[in-house]
Amino acid sequence: MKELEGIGPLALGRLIQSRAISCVEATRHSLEVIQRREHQCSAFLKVTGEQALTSAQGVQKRLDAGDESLSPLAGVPMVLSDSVCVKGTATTCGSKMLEGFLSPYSSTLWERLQAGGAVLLGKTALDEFALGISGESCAFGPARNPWDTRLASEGGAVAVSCGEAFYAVGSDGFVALRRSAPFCGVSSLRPTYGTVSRYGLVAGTSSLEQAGVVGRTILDCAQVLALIQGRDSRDSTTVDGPMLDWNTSLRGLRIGMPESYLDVELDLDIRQAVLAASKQLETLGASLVPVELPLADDLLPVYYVMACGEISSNLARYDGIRYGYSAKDAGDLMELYRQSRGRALGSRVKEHILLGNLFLSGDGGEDYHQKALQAWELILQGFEDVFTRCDMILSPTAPRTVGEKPGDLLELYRQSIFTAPASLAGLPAVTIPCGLDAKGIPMGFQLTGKPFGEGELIAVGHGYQSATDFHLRIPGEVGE
Amino acid sequence: MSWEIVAGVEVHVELSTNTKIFCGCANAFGAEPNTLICPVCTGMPGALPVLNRRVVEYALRAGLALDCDIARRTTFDRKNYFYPDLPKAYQISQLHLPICQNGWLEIETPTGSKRIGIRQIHMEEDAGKLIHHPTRPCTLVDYNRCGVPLLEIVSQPDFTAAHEVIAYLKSLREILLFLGVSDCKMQEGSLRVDLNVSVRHKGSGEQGIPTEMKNISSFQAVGRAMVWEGARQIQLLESGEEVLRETRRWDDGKNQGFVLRSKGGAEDYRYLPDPDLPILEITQEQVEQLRSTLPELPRNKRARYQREMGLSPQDARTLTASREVAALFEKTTALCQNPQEAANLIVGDLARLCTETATLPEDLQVDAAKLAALIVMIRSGKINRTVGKEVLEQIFFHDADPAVYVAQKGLAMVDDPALVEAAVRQVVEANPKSVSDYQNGKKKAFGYLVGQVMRSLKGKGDPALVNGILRELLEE
Repeated sequence: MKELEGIGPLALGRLIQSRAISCVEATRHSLEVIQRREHQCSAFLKVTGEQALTSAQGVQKRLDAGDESLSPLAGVPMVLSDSVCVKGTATTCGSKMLEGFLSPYSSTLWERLQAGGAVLLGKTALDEFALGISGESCAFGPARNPWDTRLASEGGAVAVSCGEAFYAVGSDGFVALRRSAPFCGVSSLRPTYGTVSRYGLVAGTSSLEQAGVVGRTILDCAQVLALIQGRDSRDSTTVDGPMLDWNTSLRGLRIGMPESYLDVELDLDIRQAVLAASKQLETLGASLVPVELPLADDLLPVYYVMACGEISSNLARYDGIRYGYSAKDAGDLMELYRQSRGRALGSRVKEHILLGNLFLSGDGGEDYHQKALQAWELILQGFEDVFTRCDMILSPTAPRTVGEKPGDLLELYRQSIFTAPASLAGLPAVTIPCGLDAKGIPMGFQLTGKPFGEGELIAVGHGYQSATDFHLRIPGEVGE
Repeated sequence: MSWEIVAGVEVHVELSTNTKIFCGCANAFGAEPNTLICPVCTGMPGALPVLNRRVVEYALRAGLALDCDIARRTTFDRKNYFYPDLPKAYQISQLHLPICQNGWLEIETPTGSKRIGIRQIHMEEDAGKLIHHPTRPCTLVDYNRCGVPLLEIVSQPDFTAAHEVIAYLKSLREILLFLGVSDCKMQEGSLRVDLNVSVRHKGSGEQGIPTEMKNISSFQAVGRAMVWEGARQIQLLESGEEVLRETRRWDDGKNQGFVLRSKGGAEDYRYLPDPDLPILEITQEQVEQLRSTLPELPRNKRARYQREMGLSPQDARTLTASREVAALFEKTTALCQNPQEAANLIVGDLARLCTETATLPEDLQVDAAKLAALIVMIRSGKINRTVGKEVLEQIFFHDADPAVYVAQKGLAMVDDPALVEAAVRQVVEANPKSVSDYQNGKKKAFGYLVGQVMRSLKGKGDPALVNGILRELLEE
């Protein structure tokens, strides 16, 4: 259905409500696009087409019966990253360790989407246990950036980019979701830590990760966030999210430009595109102010020490005993642990577990984690201070458009220099596409806001997207 | 130079909350394996813990009863280790900021009372249970116990004799039972004791290298383990060897400890603040509110029973054997206004019935109103003590109503003067020899005649009435 290409979830929701199109037709459209494009871009780990059609029929019935619990996005086909548990369906989190595992329960965020009438097309690829910046380490092969299929990407961003799904929800585990979206030419929104329940998101870096949304426009993301945010009795770290009011005027908004970022080695194209974006924001009425980030040189080390410690603890449950991969030939308990984990976990995951064990180890190493926690406190306080001087922080999303180099852990860290601080400080952030580089790959900028400052971020992102059209470009198909 | 054994204990008690500590599963003992489980307590990917408020309340009750400092802010930490009974591969516990610290408990020793320090009380989750397959060479896991709430109560190393540890454990158990926070059943594992033992030269104040003893199945066994382990360490040191920091398993049948694992540097739990559980703030109001609802503790009850009711220390102790017994005593006393009679009945015949039927003091279920009614009947002479025993058994076994039972069985005293007089006259007429013996100064004959009257009244004659009327007739 050509007329559905490029439209957003809210527009599709309106078409469905006005009966211009049925839920089943919308789902069929998505399944057709998936069939056409999946062989090139491999966004999905599993397409559940039959289930999607059945659930579309169900939503249509609810719609026809006048069910008032349906959301404005009822009947809109969407995807979840494979880190989000859906009862009775496979959840691998991109790892061989969980191959064949069927989740016995549903995540809160999926329950909320489902209650509103979301139609799930399937689960998309992500880094193994979300430990990555580009989707590269997915044990079943990464999704491919439709702008250059040699590049790895997160599946959700890919699915939205090539029109397979109208929006995607996943874990912003490390930072791959935010980093991938603009490189696929679409937008992403990570809300304030705690405003979306983590119950049912396969855990990696519990203090730092948060569910995020990918949509073509930042307003698409905002519509979805409104459905999933809010306190959850099953996640004690949740709080109610802010009113998502994006009608803020850009006039007078102060956009912080971190001075430490000027020294970061980054692609010339990216530097120019982000500077151009900053000029555009000035034109729209915002003012640019220089700011200094707290403990700027220590943000990444603190982030990784905390992340690795939590990963080593969170991933210890994959022991081959209750579910997931289990070494059948193990002779005793220790062999069962060693062989199950040794065979089924990828090298990136093992590296993080080993580092985490070192950082937490009582053998002198406990200092690392303790010190990181102390620094974390200072960083949180420091950001409070930063936000007295500006309303949000502008940065690129990543220093390079190319993906990571497999096996190069330091490069992975360097690539998250702009996105890790928001994760570390639990801040909301949006990433917005802002042009193509010389190789024709989309680039993006990121705005990081104060806690509960999602509304302002969306307002600025929306202001920018109203004045530009970078987000409307759809990658071509090979052979087209 | 003589040696001194120094010991401390870590007591784990399972709390008797309705649900587990971090999920809504029932907290119950003895269910079919793996029927009380959910994604949270089996560590499914993505599941998160939510703290059961009742566990906090129970921990605070214990902390207040043991005179602890209550933390204003308390946090949970993960203790990471692999074991099949631990589905998340970490136990959620409290390392850095436990909920209660610096308390004490006074125990009675032959040389007077002694204060035992309580280093800390913290909340944590229990692990599952490994069950070895009855016929095949494999091990099964039952996760029902995963997430059952535990308090770990850690004493200071203040014990220097086995009887002190035993007195402490008895007293601690009694307090926890009175608080109603745990059923403290060692045989069901809801109270478990780990013992730390070291030795030092007497009076030196130095700290020896301690070992930890696990798998101790009774309070008496804790005492035996302490003595045995102390002796072992002294022998080692006297022969010039070193005590190794190790965990040992107590075999009470063999009266011997065995090495379970050597600690060395290998035990590294890689503690980590649990990112899924926010800091818990405890307000002064919350603490005061709980303090005001704390029940009277056994020690205070004993003092009050002696001071206000004039009971003996021995009776006071028996009456505070459990919350249930004390409540029964207090209710009965309130109804019959006779603490000594109530005490006699409970400490005497009722205690005997409990022993005969192996009823634990905490399982005793007797209606105080019925007990009080029985006491009133005995005191007013409505029934005699022999009948009283029979009625008590009926109350104990069948929850019988004493008034109804006595009426139905016709057990009430014959207190009608006319009936008694008729019986006395008959006996006097039938026993002229005894009558004349009495009148000739053989006072013993009086007792014989009373016995004859009682026999004719089937033992239910009011003794005072019988005595009075007989004396009257004989003096005529």
